[in-house]
Amino acid sequence: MIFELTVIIITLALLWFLSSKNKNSWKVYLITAVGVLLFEYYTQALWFNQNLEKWAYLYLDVSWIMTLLWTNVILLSIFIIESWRPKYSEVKKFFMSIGLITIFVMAIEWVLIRTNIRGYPQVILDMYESLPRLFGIVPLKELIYVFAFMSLVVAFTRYWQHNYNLKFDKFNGGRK
Amino acid sequence: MNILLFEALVVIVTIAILAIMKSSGQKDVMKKFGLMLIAVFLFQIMSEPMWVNSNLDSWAYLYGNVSWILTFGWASIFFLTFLIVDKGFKKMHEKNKFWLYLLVATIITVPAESLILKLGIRSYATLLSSTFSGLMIPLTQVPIEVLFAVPMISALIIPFYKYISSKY
Repeated sequence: MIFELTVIIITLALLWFLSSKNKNSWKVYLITAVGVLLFEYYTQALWFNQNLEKWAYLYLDVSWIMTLLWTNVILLSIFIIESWRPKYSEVKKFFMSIGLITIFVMAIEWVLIRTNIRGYPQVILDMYESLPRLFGIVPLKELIYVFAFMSLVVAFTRYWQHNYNLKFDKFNGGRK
Repeated sequence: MNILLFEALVVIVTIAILAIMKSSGQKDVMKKFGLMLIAVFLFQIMSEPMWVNSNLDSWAYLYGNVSWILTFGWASIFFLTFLIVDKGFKKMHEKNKFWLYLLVATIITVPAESLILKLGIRSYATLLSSTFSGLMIPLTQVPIEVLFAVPMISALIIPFYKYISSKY
């Protein structure tokens, strides 16, 4: 319960903060959440989201709390990169965002595995067994998965931002 | 159908589609092809444990279960989808065409998936097949779940390709 509430509070705080910086934040957040959810639904057979409260699940072990968590990570990372290096090219910022997201995700996965919220089916565990683990816990293969997963989801967000002309690269001066 | 014939067919179809793209005035066709291969490959990395690609010749595999022949096949499906939708709905806005892309890609993929199932190239890992309802798409051996999965795959691969190719 503490985990779920923490994620919800962080989500609200992040949305409040981003909305105060850019008026498109809610819409960009929603688009990103759809991208994350698509991927979570499709790859649900590859992992377990376990030990969450019943209300935290959408379908089987697809959890909207986890959707919020990954969406927060993506939006926060994009915000940091856009604020830090606004003049970099789109492609550069795209890959820098993926890099930052990967660092965040590896740290969060470490926590999720230790708290027994994240689990893997036996066949995946067997596959991971043959590969080294980062800090003895996070499977190295997951690093490759995170890069692939996040590249697709961040591109999904960028594509729909462009289609709906939702700029999310200017954050100065509060609400605009 | 012989497996070697299937592999040759995929390569020939891919070359033919790239030639059609070039002859229809598209620029940087090989760059687009490369970016599409990356998009499909990213998805294959993620979903590799969910299916088994077997019985292809050894040279058709990149690593483990991932085959570049099937990557070419996916790339061809998406490019054929773009050719059909972009030609048929020239003036439609991208955000509306997107839904047609998903529909056309699914329509093309179902018989292709049926063929590779029939040839024994595609089978599904237990962790995936255990989630299947057991229902099949009529007149095929393709699980009904493919009708949901293909639009989902396409909904992530197409934006990646479109976004990266517009910026790179």
